[in-house]
Amino acid sequence: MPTQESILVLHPGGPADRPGVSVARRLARRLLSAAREVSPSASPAASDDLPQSGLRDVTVLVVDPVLCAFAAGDRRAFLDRLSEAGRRVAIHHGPADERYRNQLRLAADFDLFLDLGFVDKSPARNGSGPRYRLLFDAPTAEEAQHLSAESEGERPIPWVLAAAETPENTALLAELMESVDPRGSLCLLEHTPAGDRSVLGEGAEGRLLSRTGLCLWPSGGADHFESQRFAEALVAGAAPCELGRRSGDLPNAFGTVGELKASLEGEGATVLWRRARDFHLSRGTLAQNLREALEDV
Amino acid sequence: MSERELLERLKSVEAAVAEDRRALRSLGRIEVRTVRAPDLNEVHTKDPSGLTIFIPNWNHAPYLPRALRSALDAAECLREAGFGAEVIVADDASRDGSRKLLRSVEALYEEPRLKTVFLEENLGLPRLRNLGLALAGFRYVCLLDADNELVPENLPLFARSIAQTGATVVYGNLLEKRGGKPAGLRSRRPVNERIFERNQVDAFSVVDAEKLLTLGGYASDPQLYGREDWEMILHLIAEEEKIVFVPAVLGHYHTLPLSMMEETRTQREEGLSHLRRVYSQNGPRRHAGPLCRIYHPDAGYLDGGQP
Repeated sequence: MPTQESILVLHPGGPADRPGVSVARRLARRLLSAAREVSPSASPAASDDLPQSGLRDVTVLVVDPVLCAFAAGDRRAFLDRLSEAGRRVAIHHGPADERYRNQLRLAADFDLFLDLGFVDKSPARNGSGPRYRLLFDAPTAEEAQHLSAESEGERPIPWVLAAAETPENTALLAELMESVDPRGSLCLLEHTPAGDRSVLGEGAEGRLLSRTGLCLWPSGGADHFESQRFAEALVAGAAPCELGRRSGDLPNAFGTVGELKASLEGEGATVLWRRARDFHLSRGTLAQNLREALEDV
Repeated sequence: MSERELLERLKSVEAAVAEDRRALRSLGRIEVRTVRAPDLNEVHTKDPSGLTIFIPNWNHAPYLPRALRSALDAAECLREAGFGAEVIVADDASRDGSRKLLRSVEALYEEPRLKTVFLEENLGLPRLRNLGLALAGFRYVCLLDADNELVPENLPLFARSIAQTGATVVYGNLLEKRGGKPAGLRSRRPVNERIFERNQVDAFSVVDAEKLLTLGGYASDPQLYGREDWEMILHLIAEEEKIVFVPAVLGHYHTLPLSMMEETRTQREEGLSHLRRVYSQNGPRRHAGPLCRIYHPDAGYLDGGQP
């Protein structure tokens, strides 16, 4: 893609408390920051406020196409208008579940399907849909700047568990309280097919994490690692850790609470944070990765 | 409960406690607080520098030691965090040996901040809770049912939250346990508009006793049996009192096969019509502010609203 082309980062419109919308908008903000390094004129738009015309020379990055189409109201009209764009790129973030397949179906005739994360899910496509590419979720320039210095603030909250309410996660919470520290905090997510929704308000999770040692979440399966949560925790100074992963070489992915506890006792939260940061910085920046992906369209 | 009723009840409590004091004095080392007939002004002069853990007990002798242990540990955590703390156990005319157990505990531990009240006549849970609020030396009161258990290290979070936010009720997650194993969460979310359909907040919480008593305390209408917690929350919403959710675990909620909650589930829905008649009018009415705030004393307000 010629870099002088405009980029429009499209995010779901409508109320922020709809499942998945808050996450998609935060993702869109990070992507916009990266897109502006690729093309300084990159701009954001809500899907229910898509420009009526003038998209012919624009590359549109559609963050969560299914939610965007839903928020736009008339799905057919939304897709028709989008078809006028110079290039259409779907941005997905999440496990290879029904939602992932829905995104692939909706974006079937898009030019590219970018899967933002750490784990390649191309085998889960079954060969259908648009061209797939993993967009490694590296830090934006602003995030990289944050990560250059270690946070020295006090962290009185030992851990935060971000999890949907399920019997497995309740047991995980109990185990964390018993084995790690009872003074943790629980950030409950409402888990729906359209995505997760936190009980906390916009921006509140970051505020909570800025006072927290560890940001924990249960594994969403072998093909997904919550890179967005990982990035947000790191910037807030909390060490991101996934619990329940049985294999792989991702940083701070622990099979059990016992393994986490042993690592904390042996290395401490600061070492876990540094390890996560080094991994995050190991593959360029989000802007570099986005530029490469768009040049490949 | 009317003021006259309250006076009569407390007089009987006073007599019972006086008798207990005489008995316990003979042991020579137990302090039992004297219960006086209520002075309404006293409601407004509680000490705001600490927290009273109030345990109402009725025939829960097998579980009482667990609740009591967690309360005494929590009181210690409060003191370490700079709060005053006391534990009051009120036995509601149990017939299962609870009284003997409590006296043994007092004698064994010589804990001056553990206070006991023994009632000769059963008051029922809502009235007993009101009595606890009236007896509390501190303004903030944690209501801990005798079959439940506090997470001691977390109670200071809730004490700080209620003091810092000026809320009438502060609550947090309760980790439900069945047979000692995790079985779910209660009081798990900030109150939302569905509170008019079903209860979302257990009474196991931290309350401002002064405010609650001023608002009339827990309703003791028999039609509301088992739903007094819900009625209280609806009442607070109707009065536009501040309710705060803290995203941390306050305690363990042990579910027993024949607990009050289990019993209520199997009862007919007769009390619901009474509740709905009073409060459903409030449901559709939108309040000026949110029904509930989210707060953590180490991170401030977490709901996106104004501090």
